[in-house]
Amino acid sequence: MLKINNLNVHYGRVHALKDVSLEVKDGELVTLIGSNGAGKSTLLMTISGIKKPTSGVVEWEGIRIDKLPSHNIVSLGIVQVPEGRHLFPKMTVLENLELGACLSKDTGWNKQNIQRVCSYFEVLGQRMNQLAGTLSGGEQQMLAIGRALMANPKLLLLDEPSLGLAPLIMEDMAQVIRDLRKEEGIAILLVEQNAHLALELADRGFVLETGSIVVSGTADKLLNSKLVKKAYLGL
Amino acid sequence: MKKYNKHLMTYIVLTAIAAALPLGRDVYVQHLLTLTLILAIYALSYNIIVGYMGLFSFGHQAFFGLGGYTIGLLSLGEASAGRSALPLSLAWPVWATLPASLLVCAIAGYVIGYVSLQMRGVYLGLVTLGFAMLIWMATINERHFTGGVSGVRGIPPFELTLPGLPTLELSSPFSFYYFALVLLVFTIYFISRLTKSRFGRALVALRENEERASALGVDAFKYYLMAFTIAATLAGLAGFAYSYYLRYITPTALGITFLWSAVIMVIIGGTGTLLGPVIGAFIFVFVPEVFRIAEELRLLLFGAALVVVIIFLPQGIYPSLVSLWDRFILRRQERKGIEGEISK
Amino acid sequence: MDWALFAQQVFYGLSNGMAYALFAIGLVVIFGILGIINVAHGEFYMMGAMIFSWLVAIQGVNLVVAAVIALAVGVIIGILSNRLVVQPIYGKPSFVLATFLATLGLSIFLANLATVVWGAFPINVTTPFSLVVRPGGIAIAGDRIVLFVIGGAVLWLLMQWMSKSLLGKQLQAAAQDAVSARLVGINLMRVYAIGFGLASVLAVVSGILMAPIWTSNPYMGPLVILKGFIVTIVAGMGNFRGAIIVGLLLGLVEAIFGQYVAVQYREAVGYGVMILVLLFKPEGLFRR
Repeated sequence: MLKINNLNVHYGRVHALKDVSLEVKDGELVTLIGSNGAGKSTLLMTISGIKKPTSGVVEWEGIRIDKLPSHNIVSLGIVQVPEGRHLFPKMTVLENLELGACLSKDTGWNKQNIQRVCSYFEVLGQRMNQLAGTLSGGEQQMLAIGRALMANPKLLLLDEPSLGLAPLIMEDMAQVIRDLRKEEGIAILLVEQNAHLALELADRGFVLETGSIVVSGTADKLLNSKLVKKAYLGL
Repeated sequence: MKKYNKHLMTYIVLTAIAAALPLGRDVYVQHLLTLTLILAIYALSYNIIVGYMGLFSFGHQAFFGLGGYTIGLLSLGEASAGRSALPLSLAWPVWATLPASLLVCAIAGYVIGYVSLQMRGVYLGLVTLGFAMLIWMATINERHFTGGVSGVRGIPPFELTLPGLPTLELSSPFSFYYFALVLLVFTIYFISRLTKSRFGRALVALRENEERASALGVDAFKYYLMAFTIAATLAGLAGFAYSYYLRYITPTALGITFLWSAVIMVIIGGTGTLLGPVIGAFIFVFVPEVFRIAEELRLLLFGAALVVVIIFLPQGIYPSLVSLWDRFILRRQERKGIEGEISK
Repeated sequence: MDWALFAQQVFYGLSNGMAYALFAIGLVVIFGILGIINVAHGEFYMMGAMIFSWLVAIQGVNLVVAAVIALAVGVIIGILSNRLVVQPIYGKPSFVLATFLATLGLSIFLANLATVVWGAFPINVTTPFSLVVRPGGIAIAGDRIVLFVIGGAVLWLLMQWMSKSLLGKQLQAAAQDAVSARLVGINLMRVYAIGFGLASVLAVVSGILMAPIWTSNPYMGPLVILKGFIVTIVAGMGNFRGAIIVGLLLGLVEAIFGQYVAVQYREAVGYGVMILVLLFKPEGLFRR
């Protein structure tokens, strides 16, 4: 479904992504691990059309999307949950969810969709009229994922969903990610620093270091690779 | 050393050309040329803030106007004072009005700068604009002192009496042109010395990266305040010349149109260079004349030009010309180099 | 103390303040969404007032038709300004100052364009409401009542639209977090165009409502934009409710100061307050 070929991205003179190629197939959960500043978020932002690549191709269901504006990419079914949540802090939970569905005109469907989000995150149902900025960190992460679900994604780009969460909540979040895959068949590209968690969830994985992919393969293969063990699993 | 001489030669040639410009022209052209030089001084002073400090003040017109008003009010004699219904009849001579107007502007610049230079960006622009608007309003309202909307009229001609020499009276555009040229050359020399000094280098360091420069021990506020005061004083010098030349001054001189013209001259000419503002002033005065267009069309044109320059030539015309020239020279030298290689 | 006179000044000030608020909200919208200051906003106001006055007073066009035409022209100018002047430099290094200067160029352009079209002479317009009513010994101009009522209604509608409609929420979202807005599928270019269109509508509405009260001339833009700066700075840049409150207060304070302290320095109060706020509370009196 998603195919990236020889992607290069620059910030001014900084070469942030170097000839990156990867693929996410239907319903697959693929993870991208790497340390801070390796270029993981840059890759997601490029897929979402926020950052434009200098060269290379991003293809989605056979269409080139690397030159499309971001709102078209969302309407094609690629939705990102950015790092650090990036909610609309001065709007209520409900308004955040509504904005997540701002490309759909069908209000009946949207109401149903909100029900669906609440079935994953019960807490949100109780906080509908609270300002998003006043939620706890875990709740904000839930809302960020919920907002993305409102757009009916076929591919969900998750940027560090575990960042700053307590271990218990992290486990909840992992369960939600599993469920999303199983019940909705949504493909997921998961960016994580927590390699344990990521490889436990994923089918396949890629390791990104200073803008290049250095290792890739099935989750099992990565769990057993020397480099990953040493650098990311602390073994 | 050689480069320094080359620069000096360039400036001597340019000055000679400037001195020859009004010869044999009709009075109107001479008048425009004189106006250009005076506005060039004003533009250069504004460029200290915009180009060398890298900050934006929107209150510079106040200093230009204050300089003009100071000499206007101090130089009025009894005869002219009666005509403009102002109480003052001090009839100060030039050697007293010049330092007085510079001093007034320096003090005003120091005070306004002291209060507003904590700000940066558009905020600094708005505080200084606020001060300028207050001064403008006071000038219009205190008519028993400033002449109100009609301003100060009947300013005596520029007369300089030095012991043992005949009195120098500059009442024609032609004679005033050379006086303005002397002032302009002085201003350019002064600013070029200033920018080459330790002080100037500190300013440039601040412009490039205020945080880093501050971390290295440059007291940003002190340097900015100093430069702002100098800029205000030089604007006062331009106002001084303007007032003596036209022999009247009105609140327009410290109103918003003189802010517009400063911005236009400096941005279109090119910030942070010595010749950019001068070229800007020349374009500002002469381009509309060449096309023989009416006053409102002229500002219309410059409004549009300002937009176009900011979009397409963000450095301004002069620096763009210079880099174009450099590229041209470089390419020629490269070609020569390649030809040399081939012939070997 | 003459209470009738006082009441009259209060109404006079609040009606002026309503125009300031309407005008300043347009600046707030653009600052909120794009983070830039549109200097040409004053000329949007001027264009509204001039087109309306010219159509009504000189061409004898019906009031409502003239207002609709003025609004339509205003929206077009607003959207074109965004497209041709702001967007080409938007997002580049130091674009806040660059857009300030570019819109300053635009304002010079529009002011002198208006002079070329209509001449430098002020245009006076009278409406069927241009009469004075005297309830309880105070004199109130009918045009001011119209300004107050319509202005208030427009502000109320605007607030409703911003907080209730999906498009209004998209505008708010873009103002709160531009990247997130793009990630949920909001078309920012469209939001910018709508923001500029909306802002120019507000400027034009205030221009039309003030046209019968102040005479209109092509050079009034800068004076109006300075009021707008005062209101937005004192309220806090990008603050919606604050701008309405400060706009009304500015009108009120000017009127009271003019009546009881010094009429010729009525306009100076605002500048004084703006300078003080910038120096001591640069984030404004109201938090965002």
